[in-house]
Amino acid sequence: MTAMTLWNDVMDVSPAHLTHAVTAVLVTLVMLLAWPRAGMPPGTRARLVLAGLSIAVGALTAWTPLLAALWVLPLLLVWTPGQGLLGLVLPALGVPAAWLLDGMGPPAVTQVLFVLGLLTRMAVFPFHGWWMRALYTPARPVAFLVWIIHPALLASAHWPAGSDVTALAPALATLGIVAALCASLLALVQGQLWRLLGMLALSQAGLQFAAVMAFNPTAGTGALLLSGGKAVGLLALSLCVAAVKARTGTATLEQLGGLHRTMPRLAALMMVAGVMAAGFPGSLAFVAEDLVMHGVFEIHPLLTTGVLVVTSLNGMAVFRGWMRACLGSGPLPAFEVPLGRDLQRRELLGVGLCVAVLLVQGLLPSYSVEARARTTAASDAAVPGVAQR
Amino acid sequence: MTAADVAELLPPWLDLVPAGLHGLVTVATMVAGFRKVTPERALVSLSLVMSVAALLVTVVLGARVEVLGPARLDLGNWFHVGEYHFPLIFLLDAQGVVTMLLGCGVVAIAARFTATYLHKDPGFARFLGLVHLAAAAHLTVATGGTLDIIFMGWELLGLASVLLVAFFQDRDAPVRNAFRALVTYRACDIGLLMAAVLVHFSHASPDISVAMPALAGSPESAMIGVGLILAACGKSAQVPVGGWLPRAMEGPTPSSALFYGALSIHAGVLLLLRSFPLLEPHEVLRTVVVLVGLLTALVGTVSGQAAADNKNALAYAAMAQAGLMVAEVGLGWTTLALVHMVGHAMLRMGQFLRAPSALHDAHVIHSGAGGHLPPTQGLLGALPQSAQLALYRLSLTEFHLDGFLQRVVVGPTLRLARLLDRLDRALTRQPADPQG
Repeated sequence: MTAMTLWNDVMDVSPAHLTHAVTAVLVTLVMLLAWPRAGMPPGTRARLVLAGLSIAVGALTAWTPLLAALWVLPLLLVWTPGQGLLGLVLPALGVPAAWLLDGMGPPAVTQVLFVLGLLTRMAVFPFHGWWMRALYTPARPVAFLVWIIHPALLASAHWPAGSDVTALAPALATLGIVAALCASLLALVQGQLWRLLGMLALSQAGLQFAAVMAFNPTAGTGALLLSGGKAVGLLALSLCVAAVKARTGTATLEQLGGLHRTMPRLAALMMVAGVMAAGFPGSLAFVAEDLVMHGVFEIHPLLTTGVLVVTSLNGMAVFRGWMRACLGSGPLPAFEVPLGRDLQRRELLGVGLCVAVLLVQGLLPSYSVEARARTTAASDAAVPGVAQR
Repeated sequence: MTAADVAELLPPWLDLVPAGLHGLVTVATMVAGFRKVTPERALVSLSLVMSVAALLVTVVLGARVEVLGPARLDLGNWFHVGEYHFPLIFLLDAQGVVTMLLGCGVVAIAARFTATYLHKDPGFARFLGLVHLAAAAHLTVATGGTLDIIFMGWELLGLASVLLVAFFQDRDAPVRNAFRALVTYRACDIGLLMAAVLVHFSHASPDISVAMPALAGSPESAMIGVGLILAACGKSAQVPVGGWLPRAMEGPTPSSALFYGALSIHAGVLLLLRSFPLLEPHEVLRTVVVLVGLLTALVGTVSGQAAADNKNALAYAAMAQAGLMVAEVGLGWTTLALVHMVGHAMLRMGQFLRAPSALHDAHVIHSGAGGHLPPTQGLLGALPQSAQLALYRLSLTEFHLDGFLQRVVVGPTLRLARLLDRLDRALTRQPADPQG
């Protein structure tokens, strides 16, 4: 076996996988650069680097044992003793266990295990407990990173062999849309910015899951683009919220308000990041949502209506959070930010970079779309039943 | 050389130049906004030069349409996956030219007015940037050749509108009202996007000049029509979702004049005019359009009688006129609706811009007339006292439409969301309000 053959067996460096890996590295770097130091307890940086590397290498890995190891590692990095081990079992071990049992056990069991593993790893509502709990630990930046770059989307190419999964597509896609709807509704009533971002993330996870399970090139490409577009938008928003928390000591909306007076750059960039994350025209998320809604239409028009409602509710939730935190008469006196404590240069650079990436890719999406479309076609061909369709 | 020869020499991409010029001003103001001192004079000069240039280019485009007829600009696909593609098609016909001329004209007036009205305001650059963003978005709606392109302009127009309602961002009321407008826009825009998806899956050409007549009478036409009507109702403040319009008056006067006197309020009418070939054979949909328009005209007229301030009264008047235009489209009087739109936009914009001087104007009129003018009662004055009182009560509550929506849509949605939240916190073992 030559080195080249071995390399080809172990690694997959197709454009979309490479984009995924590069995105993981960039997101890690942006987080290291721009996350406020007050929100990075000792050890968090090392965990962040390790998680970023494992996700990046995982995106380029085609060899299942290595993929399984890199699947588990990031989840161990967000785990803290207070969370309890039980909640991590399915997200960490569901998909690797399905790969292990592939061909040995009954196909139905491996399929169910695989789907549950995907649902929990992507933190699709209501399989999101571990991730929401991780958001309230000192490892918050790592939790965001682990969610932001989904190896789960690429893992769908490693579907366990067995029965025709396309028969399950309508039910799984519907599950994803319902989950996204619930999370969007939840985002609308949150009184705390971290939880609001968490719910937006869950809503995106639901949409991505539905799009992947539609098993068609349009929806699949949309899911991969959503992973990039929405995730980078949410990263920019999370950097803004981390900056708010570092300055005011709170992320509770009732205690905030009027930040535009003392932090005008934060208010402006948070609005732009929100617009990008909510999928307004000109952002990558707009292109991604357009593809997802057309893709799921092929399963049932009602699913497209669900996607439309989700995107509409998410836009409302993002603006509500921004308006309550940054506009209006002002915060409670205890949470007042003195002048001169606006975003620092490195924070500005981090959020600005995210916004620029989304804008450029949103205005000139053809390369991103084509790269993802090729990967989706290759992934779908590997899924039992899809190639024969 | 004939006029046709000259017109044919014009490059096809000229259609996009007016929107591009306004877009450039938006970018320039955004950059200027990050500086400590706003270069106000330079921004005003840039804004006026670009607005006039856009107007002149539009006049040239109008002359080309007059000589050569409607023009179609196909820039290929923005992106595509398999059989799905997002085509960049722009269409310039008489309707589009009239709308563009209106947009470019009123933006130039609003920009000049702003130079004095918001002089030395800390948000000067932001205001000017949003006005030009709205202009670019309006021109995109006017020239959009597919529902997808129209949607892009439509969303950006809504975004600019919301941010301008919240312009005085130190106060809570404008921010609250801006959010209210945003919620209405986002909810109603679902209709436009749904219509765009349905047009795509109907396998008709995405070009609206082809798709709308081709889809008329098809099984999908009813759903597409309902979506378009919903979107038009949101943007043109029609019954039952028009309650945001009076609240949007919290924005600065030039933005109220521009959006709710001239551009945004007529976007829904323009959308219905564009989609009229689809609605034309559909008696039920047209009846719905007429009823919605007439009901809005009634609600706007009566509610305006009880408005306590000048801008609110103008907002209700604009709502009533937009209702009449919608009814005109439903009745098939499309040319009248277009003429009505232009006339109303110019008149209402002038009235909005004069609104801050209303007291001064009243004093001038009174001194010219030699005393107070006799009260005008109109048709409502001829009604019996009890009917007048009932109408007064209804006008104060805007015919209970907001309360109805609150009870039927907003309330249940929020209750469901809160119930889900309680369940989620219990299941994921999260405290009621975790400090993050």
